[in-house]
Amino acid sequence: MMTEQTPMISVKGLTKVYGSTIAADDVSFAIDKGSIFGLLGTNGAGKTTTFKCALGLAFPSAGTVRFDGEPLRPELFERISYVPERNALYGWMTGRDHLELTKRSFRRYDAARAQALLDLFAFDVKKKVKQLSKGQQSALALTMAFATRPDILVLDEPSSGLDPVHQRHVLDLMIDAAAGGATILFSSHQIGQVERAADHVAIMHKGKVVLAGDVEELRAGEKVVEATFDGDAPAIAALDSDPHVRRVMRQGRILRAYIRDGGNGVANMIDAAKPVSLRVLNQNLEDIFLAAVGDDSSSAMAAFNREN
Amino acid sequence: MYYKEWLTVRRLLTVLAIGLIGLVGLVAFFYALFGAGSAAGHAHAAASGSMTGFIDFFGTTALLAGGLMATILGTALSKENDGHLEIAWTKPYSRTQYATAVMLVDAAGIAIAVLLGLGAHALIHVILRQPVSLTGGPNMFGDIVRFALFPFAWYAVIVALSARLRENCSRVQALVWPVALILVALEEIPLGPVWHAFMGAVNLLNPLTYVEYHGPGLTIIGGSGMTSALTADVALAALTIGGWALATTQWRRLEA
Repeated sequence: MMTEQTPMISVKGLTKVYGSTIAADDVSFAIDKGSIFGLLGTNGAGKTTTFKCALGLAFPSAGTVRFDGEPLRPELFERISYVPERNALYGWMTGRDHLELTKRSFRRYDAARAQALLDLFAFDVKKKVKQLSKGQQSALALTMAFATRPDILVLDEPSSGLDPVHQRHVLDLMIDAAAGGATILFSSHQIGQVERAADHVAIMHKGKVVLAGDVEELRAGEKVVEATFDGDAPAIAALDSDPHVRRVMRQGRILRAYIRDGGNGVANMIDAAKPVSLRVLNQNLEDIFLAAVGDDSSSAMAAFNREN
Repeated sequence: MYYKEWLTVRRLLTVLAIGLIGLVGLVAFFYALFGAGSAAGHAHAAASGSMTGFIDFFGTTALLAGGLMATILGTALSKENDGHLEIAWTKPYSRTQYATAVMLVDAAGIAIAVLLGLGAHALIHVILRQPVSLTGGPNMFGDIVRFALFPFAWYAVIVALSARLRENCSRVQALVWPVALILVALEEIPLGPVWHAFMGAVNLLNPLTYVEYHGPGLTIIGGSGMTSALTADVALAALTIGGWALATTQWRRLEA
């Protein structure tokens, strides 16, 4: 008999309204144990609001959040670590003070693990936080988060301010933690990082989850026919009515058609418009992301191209 | 849970101790320069029974050292609200537990500050050869309690006023003393019984009201004629508990 696994993090119908602004609108997703779940979105899409509501830092207007089947209660934070987008460290305290604070707050604090993380990030814990660079402050926050060996990690832009070497370290830490059974919910503006680490993603736009799923399935589900023209990309009416075409984007000289299947037929249709170049690509996460939120960005880019 | 607040308190107590040592040193220095000639006068004053009363000695210290510490520490929750809630609220403790721990550590800090102040004050009396009488009037115990409670009530009022604030807590610190003094002074204006009753009601929430005291060496005008030590003790205790409760209630409703 098969039993359905209880999601480690379950968000259902989460809505947060600030005055007349709906910061998170009926957000739902579920994350299984050991999964790395990437939350993607443009600035103001509602990612941080979702994190804050999930962790009780803000009160949701509607919806429920459960961790390992239980509603959030303070004791659960023994198993949860959170790294906020904006540095919340105390500027007048040293890195060592912050680690001591973590040690005294969490029974699961692992001093050896903390030391290994300090060695990895290589910053001076004797310095006051206000004397550390933004990247070093991020490294301290990450050290505090990973030093307790949490079951659940919620990381809001964890690589913010880090150099590429340390960004790679963070990804490795996440992958390593997930391999050890931890569940990770994180956001990042760096889609390449999400693509490398996450097994599932949700894309948020204007407070809503507009696309969610397994990264590999999402990538395999669509292809992109990309054509470059001499002048502005022409409108090809047949594309709009073709059932294989999910979406067409024109951006200056470039035309992209996102197709579910039947790529050759669509490519032939576009080729008939005499492009300078034409290629059929597998979608990467960036394509998926832009297709999901692309209206605003593509029209803004088109306007920019027209004006420049 | 309380470690960060303890670091804050420890830092402040260190600064206070250094300041008090400096003050005692200054007193000793000036006394050595100018006070030697009046030593005989001091000896005569002591012999004739002109001693500093214990309430004067204790009350001054509690008001100054305790009040100062309470004013600085009173914005503890507000300072957490200025960008640190993501750390404070993601620990395995409830918001109520966290706020209570912070306020208890601050209360301990205030008590230690008063003790440090008493030590420095006593040293100054030794240097100046001004004895302190350990006896007091019939209300001595009640007076000690009210002066001992004042810093905690003062802290509670400030923490209640500032708990919701994010950036402007220093304004509360800067204004709370002048406003409290002005409220007390306004009650003294002879504008009739209605005015007096109104200001009396307003001043019920003003801890300064309850430290009205007329002693041989110290006079503090509170304003409402709240001279009953027992009434003042109960009122200050109520303000302390009420302020803490109000601050905690606000803290529980905040959002990061």
